[in-house]
Amino acid sequence: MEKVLGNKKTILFFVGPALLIYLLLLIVPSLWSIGYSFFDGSPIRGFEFVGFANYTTALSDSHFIDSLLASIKYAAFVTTGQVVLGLALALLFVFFLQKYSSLVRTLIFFPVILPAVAVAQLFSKLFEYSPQLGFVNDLLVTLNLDGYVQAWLAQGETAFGVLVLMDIWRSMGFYAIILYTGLIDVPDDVIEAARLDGASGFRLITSIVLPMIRPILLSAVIFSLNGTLKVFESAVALTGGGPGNSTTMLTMYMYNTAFSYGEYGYGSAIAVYLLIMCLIVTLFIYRFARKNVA
Amino acid sequence: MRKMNFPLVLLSSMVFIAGCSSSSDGDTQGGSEEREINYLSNRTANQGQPRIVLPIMEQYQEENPDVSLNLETIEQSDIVQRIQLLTASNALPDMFVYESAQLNDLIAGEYIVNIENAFEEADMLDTVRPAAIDLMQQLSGTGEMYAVPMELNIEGFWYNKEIFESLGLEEPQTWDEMMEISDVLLENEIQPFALAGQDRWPITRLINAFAVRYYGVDAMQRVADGNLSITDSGFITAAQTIQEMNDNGYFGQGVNAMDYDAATGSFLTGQSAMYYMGSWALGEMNDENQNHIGGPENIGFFNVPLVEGGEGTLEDYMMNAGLITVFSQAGFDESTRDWFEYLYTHYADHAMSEHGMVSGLATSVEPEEDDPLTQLVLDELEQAESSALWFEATFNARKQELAETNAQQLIGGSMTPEEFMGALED
Repeated sequence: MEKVLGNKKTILFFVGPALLIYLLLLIVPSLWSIGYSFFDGSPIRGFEFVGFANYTTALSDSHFIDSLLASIKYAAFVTTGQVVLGLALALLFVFFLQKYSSLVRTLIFFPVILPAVAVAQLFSKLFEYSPQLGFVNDLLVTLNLDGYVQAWLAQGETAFGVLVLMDIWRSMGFYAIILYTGLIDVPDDVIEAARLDGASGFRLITSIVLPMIRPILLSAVIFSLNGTLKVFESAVALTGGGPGNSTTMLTMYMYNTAFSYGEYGYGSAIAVYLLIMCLIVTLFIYRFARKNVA
Repeated sequence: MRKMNFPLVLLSSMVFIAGCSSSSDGDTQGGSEEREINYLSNRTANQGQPRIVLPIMEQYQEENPDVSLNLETIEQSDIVQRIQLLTASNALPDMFVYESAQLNDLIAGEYIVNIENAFEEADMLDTVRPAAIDLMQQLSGTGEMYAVPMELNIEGFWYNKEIFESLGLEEPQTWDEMMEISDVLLENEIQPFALAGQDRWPITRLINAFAVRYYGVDAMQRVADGNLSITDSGFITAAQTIQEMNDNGYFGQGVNAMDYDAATGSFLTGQSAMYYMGSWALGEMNDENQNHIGGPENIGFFNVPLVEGGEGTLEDYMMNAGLITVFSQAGFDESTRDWFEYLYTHYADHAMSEHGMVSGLATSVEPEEDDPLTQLVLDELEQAESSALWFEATFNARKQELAETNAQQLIGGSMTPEEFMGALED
């Protein structure tokens, strides 16, 4: 076997097809898109080379800046929510619900497998205002909190809040499972030893458990940040970017620019900015992780 | 193992790629006898225009068995993108629907047929309603007609006659009267207007209605030509008026969460008394399952009322042609030309007699007796001397999005009328 795998041609044979498909479906379109970002025009009018003009336009385009800030704000809220709540749930599974945790895990994981569009429908009904009050507004009426009854999805701030809430609810189960796998790897004897030394509760978690699951925690944060920076379908399905442009994320602005406005070059430039942003975030977290280890 | 070599892998992969690549090279030019006309629409065979076109094709085939129509249906939001790609690969469908605001590229590249000439050559130009020709000429931006007005809608205020009568209200002639009526309605706890703010364009329609009465029928055309600034005081007043109407509660609460169906429902269940909409909504108004306010007989219509000191008249109507239908130049051969003539000789009558639908082509049949609203639309069309386009008609896609997005912010109060109009300045 070693002899077979030592042969370069054989390696190529095994890896080749997958690599080729990867190249064709991922790398080539990416490079293509980067190429487009230096052009202006449409398939009908033809394309014209404009150098870095698309990139400089973006910097003075208030919509680009607005949607960039919306994306960052959204990523900050949702990543914090997903990872913190995910971690809390994972700790709950391990330390308090040992026996029933599989049932609870299934329930909490359930929203992860629901399509984003279905979840968005669910939430838009929950927070409905007209033609009839949804569950949340109904509840507020029942609790005599009529003053808080409002059109949640028709106001920028609250619509953003509902979107954040929805995406945290939708994916915290996923992070709970990831972190749970990290937690069950923490040796029991270490925890027992710490307990004997008098560490308990909060102290036990911050000093013993968290440092031990650090690598997996960091992966979760990277996953989450990259996922949330690229959020698209849940915002489209829940609010369509509105009201106004309060929930228009960078990805949606990119999509609109390229496909609704027919500005393929500019849209590609925005995509490249998004790519750079995700790279920076990932590198930053890796750097941070390495420094802390050292 | 050693004998399996790399070129083979490469070859098999290439076969895979070839399989994935475009296979729609369009075999439209196949035999000289058989001709398949490709028709791209946002509607399926039993909706909208295709449900009228397809039966006409069946009729046509009795004498021309070699010609057939191939309908392809795609989402309205995908049309521009699809047509751009097909244009680039010279594979445009023979007839297709398109967004009117984006026509100019297709016209400039000579990809689509000049419909005005085509109708003239077929000696049919006199069958097109003058208002429709005017509308199509404005839409193309060239002064010539490049699309067939297969639908023609008038827009204005529909109202609930029963509510008006019970409160002793009359159709308003001026915008101020309309505001007074709204106050009376509010006092009687009836929401004056239904408005689908979530769909965004109904908001800009109202702004446009006011502006057109202020500046006259060519308001937005003058803006497009650079002869009028969109930040001029009349436009600011228009935006301000709509914002105030919302502040006064005329549109009810949570306008921006109200979609088209909800707004139509609000009007057709008697919760609101007036509804600015195009005559395409006749379908819902005539539907007894949706109309709970005593059928179409209880619905009246008044044109956008006048604005004090404005240049507009009550003979100017807001009009709309739905998605427009154009023909590709490459596909406009003898067979298509013959079919084109046949289709538009029969289209208007079919549309009217089968579906009570008004098109921009003159019809020789009357609407059904139990369809008073279609008759009403036809009567109003008779009076129409000129037509005004909707607010975004001359905007490109980006500016259109901007106008609609900001309209929500305008009535939500997070944008001032000055900011709203300022953002639309070039």
